[in-house]
Amino acid sequence: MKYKLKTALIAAALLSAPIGQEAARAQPITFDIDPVHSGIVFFINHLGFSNVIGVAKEFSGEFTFDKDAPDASKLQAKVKVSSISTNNAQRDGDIQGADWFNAAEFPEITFVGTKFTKSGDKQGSITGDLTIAGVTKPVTLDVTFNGQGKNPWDGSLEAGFSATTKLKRSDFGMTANIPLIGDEVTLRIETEGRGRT
Amino acid sequence: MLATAVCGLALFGVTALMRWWRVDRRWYDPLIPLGFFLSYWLTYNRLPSFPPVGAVNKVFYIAIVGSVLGLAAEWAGSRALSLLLLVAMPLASAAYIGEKIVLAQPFDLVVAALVGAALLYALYREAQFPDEGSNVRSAVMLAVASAGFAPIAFMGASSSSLQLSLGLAVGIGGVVFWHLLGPNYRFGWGSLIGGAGGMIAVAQTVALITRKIDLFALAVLSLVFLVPSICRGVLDRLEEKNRPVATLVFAGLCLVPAIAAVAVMLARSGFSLPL
Repeated sequence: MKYKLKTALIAAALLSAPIGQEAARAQPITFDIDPVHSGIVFFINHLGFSNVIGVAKEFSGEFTFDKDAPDASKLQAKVKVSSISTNNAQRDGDIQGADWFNAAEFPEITFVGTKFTKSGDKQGSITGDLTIAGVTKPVTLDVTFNGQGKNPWDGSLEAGFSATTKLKRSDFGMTANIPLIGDEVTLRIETEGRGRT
Repeated sequence: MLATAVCGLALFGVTALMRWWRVDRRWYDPLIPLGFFLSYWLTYNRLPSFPPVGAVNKVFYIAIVGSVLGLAAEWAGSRALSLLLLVAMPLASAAYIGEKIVLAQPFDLVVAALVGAALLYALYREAQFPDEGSNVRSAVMLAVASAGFAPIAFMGASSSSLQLSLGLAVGIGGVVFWHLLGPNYRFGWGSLIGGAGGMIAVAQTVALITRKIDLFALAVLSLVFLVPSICRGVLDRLEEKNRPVATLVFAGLCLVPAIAAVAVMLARSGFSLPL
């Protein structure tokens, strides 16, 4: 009986070893944004009747994150302007022009996080520099930490966040058709990052 | 549309006061650049940042530099400097606006610069005729071309250019109104390099950066600047008989290619407003 108990304790200790190692590691991990399981969506008012939905189809980025020390996180991401779609080919072409995103001169939108603040168990905010059409403005994202853990399919380390913010397109020089087309843009971001091994 | 009306009323009012005070004709030269800046400000609701970010901001500073140099050349009376500006400004504006695409589309930049210079020359040439209405005709050409450009730019994905162009066109209309009966107007180098040069920079932005404009419609629109050459005989005969009617007929003749350009654009692309 004693032998069986001893064996069970050793087995339990061995099984728990990876968890213990991970806890002991407790260092920031760099994650690459996984575009397959991430998304960027925006909403913009049309004549007060509806909120047109736009998506960014091509984006990339990375973030460094330690759930025990989120204040020390890092984040940088970029969006390919030509991939922005509002589900209408003509409009999608129009918004690439000089009045809007000006893709010819500024083919990328970038965001670089500068301040990471934890405000609750799963809540926090990221303030950073958002650059659209060559204009850089500080923007604060309200962030929810969805979780971190092993991907059961391939064992990779994953971390996921949801973020929202509102910004004014006029702050970035896009003043066309205000107020017929809303100045305020609601942005929603779903991000899953894959930890680098 | 309110902004367009404001431009028209502002230049109408200023010109009325200037006529009332019987100012020298040379002082009318800054009015078209003023109309351009007023229209720009009303269109974008702000002055652009400096240094400018993007082509839309650059347009403003191109017009500023063009106006300052043009007015300086006008007051200095230097024909050589003025002609140099006529060639250099469209070239400089095309290069400045299209700096990020210069390697990818150098041919487009060269065409945009040459067409700009040719249009400025057409305006300059008309203003050189010795009759009293010649300067008014240059202003009319610019106004009609701007008005015709507005819907073409709009369908070419630039609603801001629509408003800016219409504002300038109606503003020029407010100036021309007071010079129909007894012209005492000067379409000088400030108007040419600053005002018309600013509009050319707007067209270059839509053509080179936004790249959705109907270039064939723009080509038809440019025929506005050939109206004086084509209709010279008729205009001269009318000018001798009745100058105001001659100016109005000239405006009507300029409208023909402008309307044709818009019709061509609509026939080729239809009318759809997804925004």
